[in-house]
Amino acid sequence: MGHRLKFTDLLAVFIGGFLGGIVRYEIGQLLHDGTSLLGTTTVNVVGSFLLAFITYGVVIYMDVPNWLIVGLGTGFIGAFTTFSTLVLNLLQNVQDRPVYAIIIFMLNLMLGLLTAASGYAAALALGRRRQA
Amino acid sequence: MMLIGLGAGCGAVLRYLITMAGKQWGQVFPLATLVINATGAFIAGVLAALVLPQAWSLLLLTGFCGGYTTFSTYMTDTFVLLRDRHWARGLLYYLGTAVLGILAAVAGALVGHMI
Repeated sequence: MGHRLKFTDLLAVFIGGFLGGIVRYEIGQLLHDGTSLLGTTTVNVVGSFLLAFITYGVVIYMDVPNWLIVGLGTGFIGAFTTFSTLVLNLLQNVQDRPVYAIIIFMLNLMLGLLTAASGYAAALALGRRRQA
Repeated sequence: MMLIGLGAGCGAVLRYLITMAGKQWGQVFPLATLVINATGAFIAGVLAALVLPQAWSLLLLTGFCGGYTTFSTYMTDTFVLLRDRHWARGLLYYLGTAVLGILAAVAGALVGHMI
């Protein structure tokens, strides 16, 4: 994979990021992220699965152009998930409801790692089926 | 909604550029993503403390900071470190990003309150 900057890659990252940010916001609205903190949790957990799956599944087993990989992975899923809101949600809620805020934060970290591992495992399983 | 998309798109492009530059810093540790998430948390802390008008908050906080920082790469990189049995490095990255992110956001909030 080349490491040189290409305009098409940058454009794909921008468009992916544009859409990923909007979908994150919409899910946040739907799940009342402002109070429940569950919107950010949902996108982070789902996104961790998808990124691992795409990085190890799509890239390895399918012949996909680089702009599509960076557009989907770095752009869409990268912007779909968020670290800054996760940290802000913790800080803004830790005084009023410390137990809930800390549990949600740790839940993100634990489930995120678990789903990233699952995404990787799913990609491996898919690859084995394709080879068989 | 366009504001969020615009902010998130610009954030993602900046993250991509820093990650590309970071490939020259060596592959031992996903340093670029750590730097991105820590600086993003700092900026988010500043912006949150400033209590911006809603449109600016959507553009800069939800959009830019949300799109610039990333959770999925943080998790995937942690998983890869652990998968490759770099236990200490993986754990350091996993917990280090979380702790640095919190400290950066607190520092950002302090700066924001001073402005």
